[in-house]
Amino acid sequence: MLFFILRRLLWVPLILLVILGITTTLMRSAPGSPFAAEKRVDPQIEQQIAKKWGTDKSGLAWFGEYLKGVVKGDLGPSFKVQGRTVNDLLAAAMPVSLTLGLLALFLALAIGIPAGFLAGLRQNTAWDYGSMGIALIGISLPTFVIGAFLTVWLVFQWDVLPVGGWGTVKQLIMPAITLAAPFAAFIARLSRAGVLEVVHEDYIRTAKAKGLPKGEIVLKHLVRGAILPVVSYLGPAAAAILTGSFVVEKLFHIPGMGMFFVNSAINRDYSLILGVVIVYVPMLVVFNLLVDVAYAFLDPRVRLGK
Amino acid sequence: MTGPAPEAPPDEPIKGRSLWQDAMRRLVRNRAAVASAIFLVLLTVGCIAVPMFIDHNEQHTNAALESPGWSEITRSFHPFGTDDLGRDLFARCFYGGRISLMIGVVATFISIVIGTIYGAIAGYMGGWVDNVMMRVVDILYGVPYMLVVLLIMAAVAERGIVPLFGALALFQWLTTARIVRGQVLTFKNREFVQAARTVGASGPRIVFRHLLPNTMGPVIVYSTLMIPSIILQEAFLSYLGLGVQDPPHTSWGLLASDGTRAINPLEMYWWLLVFPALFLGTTLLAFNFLGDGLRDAFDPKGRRA
Repeated sequence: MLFFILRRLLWVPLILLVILGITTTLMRSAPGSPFAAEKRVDPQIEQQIAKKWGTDKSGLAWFGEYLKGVVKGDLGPSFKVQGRTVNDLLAAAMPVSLTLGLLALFLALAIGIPAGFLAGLRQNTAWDYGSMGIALIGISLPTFVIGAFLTVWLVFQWDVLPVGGWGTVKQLIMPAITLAAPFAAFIARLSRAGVLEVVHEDYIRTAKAKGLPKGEIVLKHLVRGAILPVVSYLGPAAAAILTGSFVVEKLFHIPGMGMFFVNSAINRDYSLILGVVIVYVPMLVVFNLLVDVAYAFLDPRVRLGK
Repeated sequence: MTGPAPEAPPDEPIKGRSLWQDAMRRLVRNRAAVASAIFLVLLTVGCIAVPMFIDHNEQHTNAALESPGWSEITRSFHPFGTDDLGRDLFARCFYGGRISLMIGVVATFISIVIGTIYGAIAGYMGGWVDNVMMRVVDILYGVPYMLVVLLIMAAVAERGIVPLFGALALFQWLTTARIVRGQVLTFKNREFVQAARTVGASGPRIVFRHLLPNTMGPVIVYSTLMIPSIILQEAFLSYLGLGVQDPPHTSWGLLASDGTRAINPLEMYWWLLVFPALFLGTTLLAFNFLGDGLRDAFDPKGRRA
């Protein structure tokens, strides 16, 4: 087990390197440059700028220089946000996104799992149709529409919550709900499917035949198996939810790192693009590793590391 | 993709019910799925027909932001009201549907074709080829793909519909490839494939004639669920201003995101948000219902119920 985890962790730098390489190739070969301006700039000045930022070098040489910095923990200065390094920007935004993301993740699980179990255990009843109907609406509307409707109701009509911003607990509620909504809906659907998958298994029948009370069957026997689809979804989902959402941050004026995903790509902020990749990819790999470990604990048939 | 399944080989002596006939029978019994399918057909017809009769770009700047109903200024009926340029929202919703549905269906089709071929090759070849091909898929899964889509969309000068297809399909084929590979792996050592091989069928023939038809069930289910997710992604790109360009084009995502900007505490132009959101929501709901129905229908365990 320990060996399995260590081996998987050793892969992280290599995977990161490959993905950084792919991203660099794409961003350097895409037309447009970080210094493209409305005004025509003297070619000489352009050369000077390129030299200062190292973009006059070939992609490979630039990438090499960049990696040297990364090894030392220096992600370089931002190409677009003047006077700030990528380390600064990420250090300021990451706690915000992590706080909001953890809250949203908790909400999504707290709503999604009970709703899904209820629907699965009472298949084809009003409970099932009701909660799955709501879940379907959650994944059938774009986040910006859900956020807009919440704003209309909770802010404009009832005036119970502030419109946006960051710092108070009240300001957390609406963005957390908006961020959690699609994830909660997905989790509900997955846990319903998980329940239906397991509920006909022999070991559940055995438990029933033994005369165990229903609550005990659900909590002790059913949950383990039924939760598996949710667990495997949680790997990529946690990585996505904890690195912030552009739409939520824009709607509610939150200084998180979801903005970076979008703005860095649009502005061709090379160092910020790669900085985002450096945060996101290891997170994804580690969460997926945690998923595999959790699988081994939940499902006795799974053995790690062949 | 939606074409009929390849007929059972004519030399098959017993007339059994195929997996497909079974699945279709079960699908027809699912009322939500059938209703969704009918809704989607009607909607598609509407999205093709309505913009032929009403111009979605005709501006009446003096009749801007009229609420739903009869307008004295344009002397015509606007069931969904007009937008800030006095354009009829009813026509725009249907025209937007054309673009949204087209993007969803075409991008899905592209990625299904790529993913099916890729997955079939990896699964059939096996060995190191399979290993390399699937590691490539694993790594591409790790790329924050919205970043790449945004790079592409921000880079193309002419933000037409074609780059959207490409950008959205770019990473969607990965899951299809995994599904098809898994299916091919389970089938490739079955007797019917061995039989085909013994009578001298070529590799491509085995893959296309014998293996792929058997993988199509899960693929169709997955593609029905991929269409709504691509329509949502297009909506997200529109929200960023990187989707289709208005004028001449528009999409549900673009209409809805314009709608969110028309909401403020002073003046509620609610119809600009509600109607596009309604179209988007019901369509995605229908696709999801249909996809769920198809999944249940193709699931062999479903026979128990």
